[in-house]
Amino acid sequence: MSKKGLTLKIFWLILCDNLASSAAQLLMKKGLRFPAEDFFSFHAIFNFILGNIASPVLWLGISIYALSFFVWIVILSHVDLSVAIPLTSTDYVLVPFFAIIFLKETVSPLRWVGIATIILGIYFISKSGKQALARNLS
Amino acid sequence: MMAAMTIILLGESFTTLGQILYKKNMNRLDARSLKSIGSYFAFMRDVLLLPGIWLGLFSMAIGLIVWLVALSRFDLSLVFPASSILYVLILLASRVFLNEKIDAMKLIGTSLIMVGIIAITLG
Repeated sequence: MSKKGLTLKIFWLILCDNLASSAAQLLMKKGLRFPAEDFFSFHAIFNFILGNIASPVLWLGISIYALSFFVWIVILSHVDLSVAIPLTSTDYVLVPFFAIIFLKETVSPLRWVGIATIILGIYFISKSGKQALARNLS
Repeated sequence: MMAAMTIILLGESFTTLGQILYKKNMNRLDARSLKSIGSYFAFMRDVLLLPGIWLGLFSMAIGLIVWLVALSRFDLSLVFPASSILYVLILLASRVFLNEKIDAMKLIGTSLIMVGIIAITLG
């Protein structure tokens, strides 16, 4: 079996998968028409599920979520879980980035600091991945 | 606030369990070259034939339902940063259950990411 590092290909795959699951989560949030009344009664949970089950937007979100599962499984067959999961934080970088470009939103200085900190964190994780991978696949 | 934290911690624990089950099963399945469309379908079939993957999906589904309950009740600006507890749970669980090496790079990287997420939410 060949050794595979955190290649650029896998990095892009994680990025695309994150975008898909972020979009899915937004759709699910939009698709929820009935809030949950209570978390500790089966009746309330049942009503929560029943009240929302007919929402097409919720199902579109769930479908994209399901598709991103397979992409995620492919990712996990290549890298450590403790490398892959921190890299899902690229969401927090991409979403404000798209908000600036497409929605012309302004980003506060503190957010820029946050984005820069996350990018630095991802850089550190990518350095770790290269040594940890050989074990993982052996 | 406490209720939100407890629910998010519960949800993220199920998510962590699901991810551990995925990874444990993917470690058993041979990593293969995925070139043709057919090889992707064969791979998907093999993945869905693993009972552990279904257990993982079940755990993720519970995590997802708990997450949806949290989203429907609490503000996104609270749920988002609180969910970054997932990174801590994953590091611990990867070390304990998957024997993954948690080196300084992963610790520093993950800490920076969590600080960044909190900064973004405050900003």
